[in-house]
Amino acid sequence: MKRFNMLEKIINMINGWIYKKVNRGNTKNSFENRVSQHLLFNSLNSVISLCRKDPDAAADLVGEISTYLQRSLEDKAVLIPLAEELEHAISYINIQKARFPDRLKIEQDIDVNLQCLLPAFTLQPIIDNAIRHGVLKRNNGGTVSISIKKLPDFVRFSVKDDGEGMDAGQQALLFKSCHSRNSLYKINNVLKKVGFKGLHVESRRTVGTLIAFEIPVDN
Amino acid sequence: MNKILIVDDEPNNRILLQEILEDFEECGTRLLYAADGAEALDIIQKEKPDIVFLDIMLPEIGGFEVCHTIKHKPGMEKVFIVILTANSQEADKRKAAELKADMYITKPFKAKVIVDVVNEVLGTAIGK
Repeated sequence: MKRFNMLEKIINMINGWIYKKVNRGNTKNSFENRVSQHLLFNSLNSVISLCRKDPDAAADLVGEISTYLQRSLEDKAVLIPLAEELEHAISYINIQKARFPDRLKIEQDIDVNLQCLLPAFTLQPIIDNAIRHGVLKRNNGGTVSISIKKLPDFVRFSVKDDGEGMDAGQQALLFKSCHSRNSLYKINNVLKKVGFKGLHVESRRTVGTLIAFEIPVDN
Repeated sequence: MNKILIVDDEPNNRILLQEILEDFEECGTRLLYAADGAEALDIIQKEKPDIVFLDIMLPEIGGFEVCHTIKHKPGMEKVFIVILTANSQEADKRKAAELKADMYITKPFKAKVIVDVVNEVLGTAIGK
C-alpha cells in the first residue's frame, strides 16, 4: 500500500496543475472541449501502474501527457503551423499506444518537411475518433493510418481506420451537433468557417472509416 | 473462496488493480480478469465473483450493459458491482445508479479506496 502513496501525491500534483491552468483563464467549458478527461484520468492510472513495472515507460508517458496538456491548453491562433498540430497529435497517439500496446497499431505516411497552416485542434480529434470509435470498439483493436501528403494545389490529410465503421444512419447523424461524434461536426464547421472545404467521410460498417480534408498549399 | 473480477480493456489498469489487491490474493482471494464485456459476463456466470470492478468503456459489450445483465439475472443480483471509470460526469453516475451498480469510483483512484471497498464487502481487514 505504501508504495502507492508517493504516486498518488504525484497524480494529485498533476491534477492541481490542471485546475490552476483552468482557473487562470481557460473556462471550464473550453478545458473540457480541449482535453479529454477520460483520456487524462485513464493515462494517469497507467502512469501509476507503469511506475512499478517499467519506470522508463512511466517517465515517457508523463512526458507525453505533459506535451498533450500543454498543447491542448495553450492559447492558439485560428490557424497554426502543421508542425504544432502534429506535435499535439503525436503526443496523443503515444499516450494511446502506451495504454493499448497490443490493440492499437498506428501507420504514418507524413511528409515531415511540409509547411502549411491549418485550424488548431483538427487533426488530433479526428485521430481520437478513429481510435476510440473505430479500432478500440473491437476486441482485437486495429490499425489507424495517418497520411499527410502534398498534392499540386493542396495538402491532403487523411485518417483511416479498420475498426467498427458506420452504417448510413450513423453517417447521417455525424454532423449533427447532438451526436456523440460531435468533434467532427465542430471540425467541419471550423474548416468551412476559414474558407476550406469540409470533411470528407467514407465509412462501412465492420470495415472501417476514412476521414479526410484538404488545406490549400498557398494559405 | 472469495473471488474478485477485474474488468478493464486497458492492461495497465488490470495490472494496477492486481497490485493493489495482491495482499488479498496472498490471503486466498482469487483474482479474475476480463478485457471485454462478453468475457466478463461469461466469467461472472461461471465463477459468481463476490465483487466486480467494472470499467464502462469496453469493446463490443460495454460496462453498463454488463451491469444491467447481471443485476437482472436471478441469483446474480447480489454480485457487488463497482463501476470503475474515468467518466466523472453526473449523467454516468446517475445511469450507474439506475442500473443498480453498488458503487461508482472514478479514475485515477486511491489504492486505499479500493482496499477499503474490498474489506467492507468481504468482511476482511487486510492492509489495515
